Amino acid sequence: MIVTYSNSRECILELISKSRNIANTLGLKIASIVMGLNVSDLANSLSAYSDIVYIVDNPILKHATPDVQSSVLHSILENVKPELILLGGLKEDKEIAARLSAKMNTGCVSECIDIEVEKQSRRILFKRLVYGGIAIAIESINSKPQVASVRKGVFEKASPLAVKGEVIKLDVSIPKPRLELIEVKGKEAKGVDFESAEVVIVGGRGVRRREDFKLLEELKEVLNGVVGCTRPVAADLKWFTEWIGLSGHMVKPKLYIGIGVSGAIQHIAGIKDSKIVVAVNNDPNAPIFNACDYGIVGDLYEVLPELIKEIKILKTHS
Amino acid sequence: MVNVAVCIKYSIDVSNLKVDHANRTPITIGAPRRMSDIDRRAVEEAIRIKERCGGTVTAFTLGIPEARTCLREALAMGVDDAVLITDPLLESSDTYITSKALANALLKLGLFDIILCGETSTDGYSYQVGPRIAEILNIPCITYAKSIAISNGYVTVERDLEDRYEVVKTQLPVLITVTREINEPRHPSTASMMKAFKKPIKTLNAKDVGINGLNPQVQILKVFIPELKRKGIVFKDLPIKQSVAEVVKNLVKEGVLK
Repeated sequence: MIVTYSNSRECILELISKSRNIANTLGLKIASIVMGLNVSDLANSLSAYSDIVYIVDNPILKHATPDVQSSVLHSILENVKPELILLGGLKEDKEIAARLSAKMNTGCVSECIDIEVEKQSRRILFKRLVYGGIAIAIESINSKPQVASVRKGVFEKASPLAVKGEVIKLDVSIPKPRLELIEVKGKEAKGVDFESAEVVIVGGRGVRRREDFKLLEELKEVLNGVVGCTRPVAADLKWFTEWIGLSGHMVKPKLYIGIGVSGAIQHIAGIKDSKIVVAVNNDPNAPIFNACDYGIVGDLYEVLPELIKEIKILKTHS
Repeated sequence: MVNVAVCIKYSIDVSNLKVDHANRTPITIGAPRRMSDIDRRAVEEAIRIKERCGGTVTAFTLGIPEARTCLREALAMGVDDAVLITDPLLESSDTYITSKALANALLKLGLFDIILCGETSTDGYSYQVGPRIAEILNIPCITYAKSIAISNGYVTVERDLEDRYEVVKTQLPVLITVTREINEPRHPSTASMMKAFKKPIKTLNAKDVGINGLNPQVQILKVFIPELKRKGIVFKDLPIKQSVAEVVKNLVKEGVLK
């Protein structure tokens, strides 16, 4: 059996779609685990994708932290005895993966970008990015069960099965939570779907003021894309809360335009699946010029208005 | 008084990593290394806790003998004691062995109220070692901290998650993993660097931390650098207007602009 778990429904569907190839090759069934309070709707909806859905519905699990979640998963998995356990790409999923592996005294590969079965040996191969994203490692796990977490947004979402799976209610003893949740504060206006955007425009440290991002917004309007920034602009300058790069959103647009982006390797890793990469920077030695399809060496405050104008002309003519 | 332990990694400096172009592999033997950026924040946070609450800070690292370099740096920043776990047997250690070795060293060296780790290392990006140590020691674990406050034997931590911040509280002892955004680390002065050279570093081997004979559970079969197929057409000597026109023309040709 392959067991999938994530705190995000979207991630679960990605895990199931990836599991299907592995399950078919190795002749395994796919199960999902759902826990929380009043989660039978989620369990029922997942039964359209999974052969089995295990559900633990309990008031104590309403705001469960990874501490409790990993214990509950451990109790279930000791009985289910799966070959492979796949966790999602949320921060909490990664913590659960690590803790569950420690509890089960087994190996875990984090943040996989691909998982496949080696033909002859039928060994499961886990692919992940290492060294800031410039290299790919292929790893295998020689302990049981094998545990892996998977990067978010890398795999397609699963399509429904022809026959609905079975929903099995479980009664699991739940440990006393060791963490007390005092407060939850939502982050401001999320909702930009970087992962599925077709055009991504990114501002880097070359953009001198936060209000100058309106130039990027203008380009975004013309190209019908999304605007993001690099890690230093978000994490150091705190102009935004999210960024594009290995430690943030990994994007795969048809067109990526980096404005004043120098091209740190972690950023390049986050845009590596873009079809075309365009870079604008006034430093001819900026590393991004070694990782772009088209580059313009020049002041972004001159290039950007010209670029917007050119594209507008093109759009009105077509 | 709070006794803090901080676990740091002598990571490969990925921005200066050389590549074997013929074989498309990174050259990791003898590669430049430094204290992992996020772990540096963990060291800073440990010292700030000591400055606020009193107590001591002990830094632990597991790695090659040269990893003492990053312990010296931690000492110069203000850490009191340093422990290096090094052994040829540990060279291919995975997160399972690393966390076991660190947990055993932590137990051996005394009772710590707070154990700090970076959320992940900047070369391996596994996000595993902190939570695994907490599991082995059977203490509460709080991940992705962006601020830490301590009072009366309790710790209150703000966690930075994808869509929200969570404030959680628990009783000491606790293991906390910190984000890169938690603080801005201090730069040690030359004088404190010199002083750090005179401080002793305790060294432990695989046997001392009870992991001789253990085999890694994760095997790295291959590491390679995928080919980056980019055209690399850069306009630098043309007037801006012309450069832009060239790029736009090409984007139309590529079918990404209509």
